[in-house]
Amino acid sequence: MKAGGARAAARTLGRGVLALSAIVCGGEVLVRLFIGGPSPQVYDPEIGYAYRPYSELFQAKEGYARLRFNSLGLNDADIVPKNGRCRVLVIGDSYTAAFQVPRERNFTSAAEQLDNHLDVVNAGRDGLFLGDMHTVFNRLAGDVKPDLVVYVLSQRAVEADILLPGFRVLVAPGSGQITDAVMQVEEKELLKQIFAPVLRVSALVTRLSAQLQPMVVDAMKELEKWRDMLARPVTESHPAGPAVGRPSSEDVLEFVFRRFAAQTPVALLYINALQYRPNHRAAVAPSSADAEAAARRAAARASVRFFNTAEYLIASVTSSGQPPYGFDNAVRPGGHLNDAGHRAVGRALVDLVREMSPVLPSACSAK
Amino acid sequence: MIFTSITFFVFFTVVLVLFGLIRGTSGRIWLLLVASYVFYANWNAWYVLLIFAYGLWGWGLGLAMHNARNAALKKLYFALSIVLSLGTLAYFKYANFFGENIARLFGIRGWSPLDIVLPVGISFFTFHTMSYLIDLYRGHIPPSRNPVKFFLFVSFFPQLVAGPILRASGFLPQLDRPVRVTWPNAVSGAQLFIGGIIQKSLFADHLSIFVDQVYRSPELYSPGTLWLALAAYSMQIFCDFAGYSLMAIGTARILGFELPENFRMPYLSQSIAEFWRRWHISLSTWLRDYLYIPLGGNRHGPTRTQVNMLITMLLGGLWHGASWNFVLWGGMHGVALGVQRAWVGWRESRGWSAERSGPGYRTASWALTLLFCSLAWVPFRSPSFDATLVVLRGLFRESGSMTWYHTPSVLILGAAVVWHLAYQFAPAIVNRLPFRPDELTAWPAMLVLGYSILIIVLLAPLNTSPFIYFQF
Repeated sequence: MKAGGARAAARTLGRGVLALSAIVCGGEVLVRLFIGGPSPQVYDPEIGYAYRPYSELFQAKEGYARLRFNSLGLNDADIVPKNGRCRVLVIGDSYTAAFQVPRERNFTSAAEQLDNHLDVVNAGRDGLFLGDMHTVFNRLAGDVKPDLVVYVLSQRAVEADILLPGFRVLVAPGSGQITDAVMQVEEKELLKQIFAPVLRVSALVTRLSAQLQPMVVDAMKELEKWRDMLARPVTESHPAGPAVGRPSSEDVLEFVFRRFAAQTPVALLYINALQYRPNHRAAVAPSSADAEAAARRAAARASVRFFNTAEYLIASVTSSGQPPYGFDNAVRPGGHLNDAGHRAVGRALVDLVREMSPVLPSACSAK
Repeated sequence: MIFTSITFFVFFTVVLVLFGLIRGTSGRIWLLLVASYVFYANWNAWYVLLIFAYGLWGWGLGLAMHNARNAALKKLYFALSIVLSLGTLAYFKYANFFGENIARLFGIRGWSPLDIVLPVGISFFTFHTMSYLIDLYRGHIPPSRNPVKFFLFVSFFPQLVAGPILRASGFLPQLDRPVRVTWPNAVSGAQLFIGGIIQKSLFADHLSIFVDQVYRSPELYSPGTLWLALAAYSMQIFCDFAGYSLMAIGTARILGFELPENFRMPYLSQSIAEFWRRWHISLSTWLRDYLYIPLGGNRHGPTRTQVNMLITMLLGGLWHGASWNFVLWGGMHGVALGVQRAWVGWRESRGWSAERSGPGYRTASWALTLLFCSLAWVPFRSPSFDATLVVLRGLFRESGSMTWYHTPSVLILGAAVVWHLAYQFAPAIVNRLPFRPDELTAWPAMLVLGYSILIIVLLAPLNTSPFIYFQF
């Protein structure tokens, strides 16, 4: 009787293990087919993470794209000799990285298609902070040898990033001059490093980590809050509000832009957010206009050329009636640039290079 | 505290552990009462006093009513209890609505809204208390002499903030039996809870991403997108509320309690009357028993019946929220019920009974009912009367140009169609769920439950939206 019971229990256990294996394998297949691939990211102590050379990325969360990174870990083809073309290095966040559309339809490719004298290198990385963009330039400058560097700014980069607690602004005690502004690597990136070997091979684990990560981060913050509360009397806690003595946002922006302008010819390209109206009409969203004005003032103080994309994006809405942002499988309008948006920004980039051509090498002169 | 949050899982685990440690029903009832107050305090600690007050006057005035020396005194206690319940509801929920409308009607300038925070679930626990008092007054139930049990009836946490609306006759007797967790109840309750999460997190929350965006600026979107949003909201509100109800029923069942069924595939209804027998059943039966029938029901001729139905539905609409949009929604259903009743009467007067109607007639009835119910959700969802008009106009005439066929919404609607078809034509498949405890170690249960949990974790949106019915 006992032996029979043990056999039955063993059979049940075996079936449970098999079922679990079937669920895990089936889950892996489902995720790879419909959601996304394994993580192509690699931990980077300076900018949080980068993309492994020649790795592949698949995502169907917003838009749909299967991409292959080049030897430098960029969403672009491998760097080839210039052959008389004007090389533009574009550095920015997820708007530039453009993981939502196939590579040949993002704005850097669109610019190349509009002007075949341009060789645009896309050095965008999703979530790249404003304070880290110069680091990306320093790494790539030797390989890319750009004639012009275009830093692409989104409203988030200008408005929110520099106010993040992790954005450290160092000020010289005597003069009050900003000496450095850099983003600290987030804790979640360190967490990802621990699980990197599994994330690299399993799409299921990558997806689970993305889903559960906010929960883990929240739990860690909650734990920290409790630890702080228990370790320190309440009266000693820091008062809420902006840190005393922190320079203004515009001063920080000016510092960041000056650092951009230290080497190769540089321009800033601002991606405007739009406010839509019926009958194919759109205008720049007020909050986006405010952020643009602040960035424009800081750019003028830093003597960096500043361009926006408003008229190109609005023209796209006027002609098609469709928003340049958003995808059927995510939010529309909202989120990242779609095909129409990339075409519009591509046109803006081509015009930017034309306007800048007098100060650029001859390869970049208007033809 | 919402059922899909980590906080709730921690809370419920602690409750279950303590439930197991405490021996005896009375201790467990105390535990559930304290847990219910903690559950509510997590939203607003001060308003726990309000639920306590409801319990206090419901129990006290109920006993006083029962022990009253004469009929007049009994009536007085009853009137007082109803005034207290409805007065409190009116203050918290309708004071600003009525104030604003009176000020507008009489041109009173300088009226400013009162700073009132609407207690979550007040409409539900008001109706619990009132149903007890009315049933007691009518002599349908005995009084509850144990205050702890009565307070738990008013505040039982699984259904505290969004129902199903309890009847004392259904719940209080369960507290007189041993309260315990059993394996079959736990297995079935947990599966109902998982089913509820699928409806809420997987379906309703994804649909809400689309619906919220479209209703934010309906004037921008093309008719096709607005029709999709119409269908998506119909499914969202069903999945959101039915999902919550399922989680409430599941949570209660794990603890050994049975709550009433609240939804029975309402979108399969072939008439508006049938829709209300399948949609929010605990509310529609409440309105029937405590409003429609006391108004006279169908006992005073066709015209009076129509008026009674209209009043019931208008008040039912107003119960949902202090807004003319809800009144409009209730009024639309009231008129539709009246039209349907007249139509059925006309057909029957010619000898065409519903039972003898063919599949074509039944399909047309179903399609018309579904179309009407979906259109009626427009004022229910719209933030204002103007927005309602924009959506309704936009459905039939192109004003906006943006097209957005939200892929997850289309897939969810497709899945909903399959599920409804299975329910209608292959009920044997649907009735296999939930699995019995002895089936848990078999392949179908392990795979279905395993994949259900995996899919919830993989696909649930990171930002869950609150339950729609919390606002009521």
